[in-house]
Amino acid sequence: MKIRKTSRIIQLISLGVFLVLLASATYPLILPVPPDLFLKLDPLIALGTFLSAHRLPLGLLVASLVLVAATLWLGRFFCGYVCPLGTTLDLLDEGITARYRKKEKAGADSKGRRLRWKYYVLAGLLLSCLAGTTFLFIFDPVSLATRFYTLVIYPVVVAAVNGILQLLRPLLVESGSSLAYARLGPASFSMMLPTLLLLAGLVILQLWERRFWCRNLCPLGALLALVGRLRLLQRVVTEDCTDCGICRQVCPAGALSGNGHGAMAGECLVCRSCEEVCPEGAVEFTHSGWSRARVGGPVDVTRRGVVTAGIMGITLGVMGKQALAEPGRRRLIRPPGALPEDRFLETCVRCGECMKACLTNVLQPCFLESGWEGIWTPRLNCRHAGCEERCNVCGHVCPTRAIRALSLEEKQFARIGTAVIDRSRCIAWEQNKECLICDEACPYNAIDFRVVVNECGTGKRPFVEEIKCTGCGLCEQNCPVGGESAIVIHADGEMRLETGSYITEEVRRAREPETDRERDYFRPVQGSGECLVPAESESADLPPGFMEGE
Amino acid sequence: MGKECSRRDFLKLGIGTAAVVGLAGPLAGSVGPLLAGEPREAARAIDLAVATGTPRAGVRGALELLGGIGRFVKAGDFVLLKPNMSFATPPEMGATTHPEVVAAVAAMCVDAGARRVLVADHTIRASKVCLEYTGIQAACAGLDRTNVVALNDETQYTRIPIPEGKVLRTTQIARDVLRADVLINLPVAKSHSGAGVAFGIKNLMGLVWDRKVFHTGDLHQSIADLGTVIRADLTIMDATRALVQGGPSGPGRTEVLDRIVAGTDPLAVDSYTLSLTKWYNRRFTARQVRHFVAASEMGLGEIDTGKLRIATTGEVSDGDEDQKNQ
Repeated sequence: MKIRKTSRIIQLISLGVFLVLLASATYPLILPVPPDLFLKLDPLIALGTFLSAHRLPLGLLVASLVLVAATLWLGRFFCGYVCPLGTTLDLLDEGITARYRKKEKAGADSKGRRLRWKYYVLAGLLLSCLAGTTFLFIFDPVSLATRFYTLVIYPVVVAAVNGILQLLRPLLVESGSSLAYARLGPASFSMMLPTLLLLAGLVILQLWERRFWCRNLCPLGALLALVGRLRLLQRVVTEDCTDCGICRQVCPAGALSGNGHGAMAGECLVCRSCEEVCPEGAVEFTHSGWSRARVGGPVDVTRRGVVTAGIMGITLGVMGKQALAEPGRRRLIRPPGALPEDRFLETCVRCGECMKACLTNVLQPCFLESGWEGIWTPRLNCRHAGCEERCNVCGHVCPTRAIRALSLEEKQFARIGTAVIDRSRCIAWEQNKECLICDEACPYNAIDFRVVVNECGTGKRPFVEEIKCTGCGLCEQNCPVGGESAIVIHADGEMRLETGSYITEEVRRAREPETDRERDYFRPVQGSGECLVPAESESADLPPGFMEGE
Repeated sequence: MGKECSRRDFLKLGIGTAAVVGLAGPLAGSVGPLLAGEPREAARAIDLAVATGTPRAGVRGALELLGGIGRFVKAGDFVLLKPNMSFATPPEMGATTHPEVVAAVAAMCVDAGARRVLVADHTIRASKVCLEYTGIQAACAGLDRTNVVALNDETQYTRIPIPEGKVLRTTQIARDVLRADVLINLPVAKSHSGAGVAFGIKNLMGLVWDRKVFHTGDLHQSIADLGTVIRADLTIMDATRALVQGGPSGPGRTEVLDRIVAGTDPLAVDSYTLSLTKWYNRRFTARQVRHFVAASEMGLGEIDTGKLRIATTGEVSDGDEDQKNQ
């Protein structure tokens, strides 16, 4: 059991590192290691981004080449040891599916035929990227794992920890510990269930065989298999082999054919289970000189299969472009620094890292609001929360820079929409209430109060100064009107720049506090028939909260 | 609820005692700094202490005029400090209480033997950035038995009735208000686009969970109603600078006043603070502020600054020490 124990320990350490990095994706970012390291290492993300968006951030290229080089040396060790999804599926298999699985029949060749499916998946998804829709990323295992741990596990952990803290609070309060006031989150995500179902599907597949996903379907597995075929590390079977076939039965990857002498280098996960179980000690993993013979024959795919996969992939790619909810797409508010919408959809890998990092939980995964192609991409739900002026972490954890890594100042100018007041619902407009919450919540001073006479009297009514507004949504979140807010962020006015600065002198000047006006609370409203400043009325000119003296 | 009643009784007793002592004490319109060790009774006779100087020196000066922190904080007390740290803005913007004011008061409470000092606010913006950018967390970091926290979670609140409330009949207040032996209010002097100005009485809205109802109802009366159930034992107004327009969140014009105004009467502190400068480029009297008038009608304190006995210090400056502490 020695080898298997060692490999399990390496798997757990890798998963641990992955989770620590994911946990570190939060405000403020403190670790020197990028939280999205695993995503950056993933060559499928680099390739998919390149095919769909025709761009490849340097960091992504370098990191993914590191993994490619390592795979040339060791084969698919990433799948066997490092992949967070692989480890998660292994753990869930041992916990759930293994006991219900039918005994694997020795020598069932049908299993071998499934191995080629993943190449079709890879070909189809890569072609769909070329056709412009990045469904590839939904099935990329590192993205899928990041998404699963962010949208499903993270809220569960937060709820559990907060529940325990609340139970212990009476004790903690007495002890004077600041833990009595500590609270994780907020973390709740609208797509928790679909995300869970996707992973559950992969677990259920393991009823047929261990690591069904990894060996038969995973597109990254297929890509690494194509690279790993050339690996330097070799599995050698010595003459002591008695053809007992035990090694074939334990191989989790179905990489051993016939009597177990030859291993398909592309399928082998280097778990070394075969080495461990061999009663004769006849299996070894060694470095030997490279030779053409060891690469094995051509990849086991049929022409018909590849063509079918290609056609399906292109169809899928074109289907994704069919605007399922075109008006909805125009309505979405994307994170500050998000690339122009088409570029954004081509580049976003749906990993959910930005949603994990989001300080206020305003970033939520899309379902079909932006069409099939936009599923799991981030959007702002401003009634739920607002985008904090002092936080810019989402762009700094995005592996493909679908959200640009903006400085704090740039972020404060990166306009994502505009607040629009629904006067028929606003209680200052419609009921003459002295409500100022939108103004109080606005970090950019974009709400201005002006005296307006309307049907319900003379009062101070809020106006949005569009030039100052960034669309952060803090006003929409805090509006005291029940149900739908009376001030709502619309995508109107959003800035979606691929390069360059969001900062303009015009906005900067507009944001300067106005300090030189003599009676500086109200400004005359010009032009409009319904908005008047009664110039003759002194009292109307008093700031809110004051009245005439005796 | 039992706990709450006992606290209110305690408060009434405190007010009564102060009144008796106040009557018995000598009239002291201009009590000088107590550095020379004047008798404590003199300190009790004043309604308001106004100190001029840097935040730390001002706080020290004002409390010396009032007879020292020991008058309010006893050994073993749980002290709740309520600064305004609702916004993620630096102290110079004037939207939040100066961190040096908070730290100075917290340190005094610790020295007076408080078993715990809790610096708390229900922040409007995300708690992490508020605690960070106001500088309050950092300023209090070195203090023993002191925690700086945001009360941004509904489970930290409990619903209470407001028996005397005219429009606000019930509200959820922070459980720590009921737990605390002493509540010290640490507002900052700033303008407010709904209430006119947000001083001490208004600052206590930061100990309430649902503030939206204040705005959907009558804001001014609601603030006064709240004042009948949450009453600070001591209010120390940070008027070292004032956000004279553009409040409550800023940015707006700030004016350096270098003043700390402290007293047990919350309305007296607020009314006096209003007189320190122009707001929105105008002079206002306390009777022009709607929620002051409402608070006065609810019996929360003295609105007429002319009736107050005010003790002032000259420039209290020990800048060296302030620099050391920064």
